[in-house]
Amino acid sequence: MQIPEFFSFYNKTRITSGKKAIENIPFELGNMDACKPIIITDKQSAQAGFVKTLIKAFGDSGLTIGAIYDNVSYSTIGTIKEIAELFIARGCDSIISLGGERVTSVAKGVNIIVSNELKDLSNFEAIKNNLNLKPLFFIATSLSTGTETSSSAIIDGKVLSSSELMPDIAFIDQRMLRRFCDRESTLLSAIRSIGHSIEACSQSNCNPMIDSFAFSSIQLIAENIFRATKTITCSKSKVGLANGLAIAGIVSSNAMEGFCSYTARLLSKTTNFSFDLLYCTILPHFLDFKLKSTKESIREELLLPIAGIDIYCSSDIKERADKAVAMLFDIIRESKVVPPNLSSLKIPEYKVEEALLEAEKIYDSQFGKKGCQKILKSAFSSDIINGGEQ
Amino acid sequence: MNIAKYPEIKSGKKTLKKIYVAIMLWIVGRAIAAAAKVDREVKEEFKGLDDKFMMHLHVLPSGPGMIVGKDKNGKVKYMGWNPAGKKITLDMKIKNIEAAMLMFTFQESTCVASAHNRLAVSGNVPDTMAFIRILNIVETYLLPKVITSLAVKRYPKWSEMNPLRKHLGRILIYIRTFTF
Repeated sequence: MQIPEFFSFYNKTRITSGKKAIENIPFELGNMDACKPIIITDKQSAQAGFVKTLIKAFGDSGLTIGAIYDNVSYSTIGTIKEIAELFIARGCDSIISLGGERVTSVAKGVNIIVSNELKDLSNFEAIKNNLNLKPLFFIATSLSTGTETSSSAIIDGKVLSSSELMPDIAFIDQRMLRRFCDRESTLLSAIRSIGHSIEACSQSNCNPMIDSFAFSSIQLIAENIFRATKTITCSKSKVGLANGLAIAGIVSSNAMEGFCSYTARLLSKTTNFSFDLLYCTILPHFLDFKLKSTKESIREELLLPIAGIDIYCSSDIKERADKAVAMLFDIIRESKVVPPNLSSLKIPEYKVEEALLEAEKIYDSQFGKKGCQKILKSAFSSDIINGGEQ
Repeated sequence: MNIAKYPEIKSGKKTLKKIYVAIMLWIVGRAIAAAAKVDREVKEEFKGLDDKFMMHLHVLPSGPGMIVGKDKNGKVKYMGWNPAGKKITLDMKIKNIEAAMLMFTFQESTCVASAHNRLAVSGNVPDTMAFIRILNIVETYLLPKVITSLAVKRYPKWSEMNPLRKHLGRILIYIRTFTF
């Protein structure tokens, strides 16, 4: 294992996972000198009964819940201001986010505003290195996508990034993962999280900590992705998958944004398709390009978390990278939710070209202009997953 | 914005669970004191502990709890649940009532509960380990084998605790627990 001459790895988030995990919330709030949390959630979580379970978990703690805001539908500054007003009016001192990416982004936005006494988030860039935030807990539900534990929040389409935005504790409790499950978005999030982890440990600034977290997340996701999405009852797999997603969020916070993420984000802005869908569409083409064209290629160790120890040991060292990518393609193919290319989503070519021009400015040094073109051209028209041109 | 739409919510009570745990702690506390007189292994374990040893096992944030410790004469006694005015040398906190229920309904053994981070301890680690060993022996006396195997890490073998010692000890401990 190579260690760079200098590296840093920051993880603010503690993961508390397992049976009756959310019952620890009052204890952890006490440890952080907090006693009156506000719960931020969405209608789906409230309807699924997650809020009731959470209120029960506070039983006998003697704490008062400041308010339960269960009306988050979009991550907008308007919603954030409304919740901030409620937070201040009720004298709350901590935030609990119950739900997926939107809810957690809103919770992070509220935390920035109430902790720094701001009117809105326009001044965020100036203060982002000096945020004194209130305790923020995140509870994973079946709507979680893995970006909740990351250091970024997407508000009104803008990405706000600061390592302090990571939640203090992520609670993963099987009761919160049971009910409804949007199979398609869970699969896309899982594949995107694997992609993030692979991108993170393929970068030049990769370090042993990123490796360790990335490999754990890939293994947890690869092992549980199908069992967790096929059954309603297999809580062990659901907890495993939720852990994998949470760890992937921590990994992506410590790595630079990769080519796939960047182009997917640009395209998502202009086409309004979900980021996860676009990311998962571009990922196979990116991996294929990396495997065939670049010197650093894909790391052979990736086969271990994807395939397990038996296949890893029985494979020739030179074949491991190819096998890892082939197995990842198998996962993508089996999921049946990833389109073969961008043209099948009816995205016009000029929009892809616009994204390409932007991406070339940043990733020219890594892949060259031709490389960037090749990846996006392939992503636009080829069908790598099913092994052919469209 | 209509703030009244989002009311404050006071946390509920879990009275039945609290009563159950309180009864269990009372029985275990008194049984420990009884076992210290009846069983030589428990006696030896207590001998190794400090003369001022006083252990408070309680559920956060507001109980129930039990205090077991040595009195001025060095005798092991159950000292109720109120720590006021007592010098606690080993403070074992169960983080919440649900964790206590898992432990005292024997869904999780003490060792597993510790591994699952359900306990917080202030005090010496060796004292804590000694107390856990005592607790395991007492549970072996108090409960039938089927339940005890769930509550302890390893059920004692024949050579470690023969049936005569076990059954005789069980009768004596039960008598002492519920009488004086």
